[in-house]
Amino acid sequence: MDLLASRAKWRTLAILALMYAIMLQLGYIVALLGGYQVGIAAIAIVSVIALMVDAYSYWQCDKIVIRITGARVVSASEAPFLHNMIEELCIASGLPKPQIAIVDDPSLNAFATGRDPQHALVAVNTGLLEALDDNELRGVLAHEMSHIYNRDIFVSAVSAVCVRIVSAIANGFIFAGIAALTAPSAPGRKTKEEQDAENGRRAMGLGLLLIGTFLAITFVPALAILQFAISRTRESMADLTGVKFTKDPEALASALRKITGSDIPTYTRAGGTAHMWIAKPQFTGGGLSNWMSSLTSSHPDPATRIATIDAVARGQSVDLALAKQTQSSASIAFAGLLAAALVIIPGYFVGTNPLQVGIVSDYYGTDGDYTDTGNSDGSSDGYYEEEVNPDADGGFGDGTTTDNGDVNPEDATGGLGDGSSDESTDETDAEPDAVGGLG
Amino acid sequence: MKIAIGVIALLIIFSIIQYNAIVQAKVRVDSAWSQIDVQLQRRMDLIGNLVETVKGYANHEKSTLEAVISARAKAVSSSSPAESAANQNMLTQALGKLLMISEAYPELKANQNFLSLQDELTSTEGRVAYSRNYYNESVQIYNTRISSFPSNIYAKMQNATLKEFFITDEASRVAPKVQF
Repeated sequence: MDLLASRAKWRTLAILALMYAIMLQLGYIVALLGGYQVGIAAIAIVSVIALMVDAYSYWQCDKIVIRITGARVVSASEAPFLHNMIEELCIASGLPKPQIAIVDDPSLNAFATGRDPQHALVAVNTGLLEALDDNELRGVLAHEMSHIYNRDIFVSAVSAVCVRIVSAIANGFIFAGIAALTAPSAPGRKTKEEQDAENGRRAMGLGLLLIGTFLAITFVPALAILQFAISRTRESMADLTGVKFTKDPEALASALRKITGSDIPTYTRAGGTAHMWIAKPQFTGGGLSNWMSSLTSSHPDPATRIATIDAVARGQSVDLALAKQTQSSASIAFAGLLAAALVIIPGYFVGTNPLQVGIVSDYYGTDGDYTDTGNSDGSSDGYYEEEVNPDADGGFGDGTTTDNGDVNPEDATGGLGDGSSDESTDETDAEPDAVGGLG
Repeated sequence: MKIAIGVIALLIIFSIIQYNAIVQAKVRVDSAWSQIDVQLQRRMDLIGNLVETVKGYANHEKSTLEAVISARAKAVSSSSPAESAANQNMLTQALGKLLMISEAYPELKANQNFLSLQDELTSTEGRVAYSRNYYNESVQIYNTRISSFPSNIYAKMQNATLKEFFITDEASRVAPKVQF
């Protein structure tokens, strides 16, 4: 790989990372300056933008991945051998022919990408082409075609988005908490009620901070680990589906042996592309990220993979093995969605109670204060009434919060339900296909 | 009332999905079958050319050549999957014999045309085998779907019947190794 190309890749990556950092930082600064409501709004906007970036990169992933990896799309006349093999596998799987690319990289690896089978890309490293014989290469290509067949790019995009939403909610809580805790108090003497309101606000801030921190150290990593677990089962599924296409488990096992035995690591240019490669790429980040990648692996242990395929080679039913993997993939996905729902659904319902702070709606704290000070020329009676059950707040709460309560949560849960049922229909669709396919 | 409407709406949606899933499975079987046809047609053409080439060098192996030609004619005219499978098996055997006798003709083996035909035939055999696998898989999915509850109800609505598998004998399941 030449220096210029790799520098271009690094620049792309650096720009992406920088953009993301700036967006988060902006949200934080806005939260500190403008108060927590603005901060929450900023976080929400940033999250929506981040999700839109996710959606865009999912939509365009074939093109983006070509840019990031430096893969070169090859025509049938440039690589007739590769094209012939892929055409055979298309016949075996019923998939349309994907684009075929070669990556100038001595490491033994290959990957598949594309938002759907019509926009799929299979790329092979030059190292792999040199090291493997025909049958082994066919086994690896079948693994990649299986990723397309099983819609694994979609699955991993959905799981990544789930993690992102939950971590955005956790961030929102933390930022709102910090803002509520650190917001300067009104100057001058305060009435008892004002003091109470301020204390209440600070207590709320602390609570939010604690909830956010709790989410950030429990649900977010748990979901991330589930995401990796899904990735691992999808890899095993792709191994087995590929074997179903080629009917040649020995070749894939021997290819995996060669790939894991190779001492040339694949240095991926972006951690986010790890799930696509047939063998787990090394991260370039050094000690810490290597430790992280051993903790959360996108690929199953190679020895386990080879053992599973060997069992199939010895005559164990590939259908049964595949059904097992499909099942565990589905149950992990279900656990993940459940965990995400545990955070996301209450996140919406929190907004229905005017005494609590939601992600989108505000709580009674400062708004009440401001209205109170504005109205303070009124009788102390009204003052007290407002304090206990502030009219302005109540009106606001009725306007926004009840709306939130009645419409948003249903919308939200409905949306989530749709999302999960989409997922599961996809899953069940894939299952009978895969399982039914077993001869 | 609202609940009843909701339940009916869900039922209708469910029915549509079930019904269309069967249609989809059937379409997949049909397209898998036509894919086999495409590959077999390619095989037929190649065999025709191969026979012509061999004739030029080994015309006196009449019985073998004729066996291939008649097996080919039969294979072309077969209609059902089972019949086609049987005829294809016969053709594969005849072809194996033909390739065996061509061992004895060094000039034939040196013929560039013959060599490239043979290469293509090998690749096509692989494709035929893959397309058969895909067809059988599609049939299995389809048959499972139309016989399992509740989709069998919707299968009856469209008079869906079980499809035949494309069964090949053990020898031709793997593409014949055409070696010299």
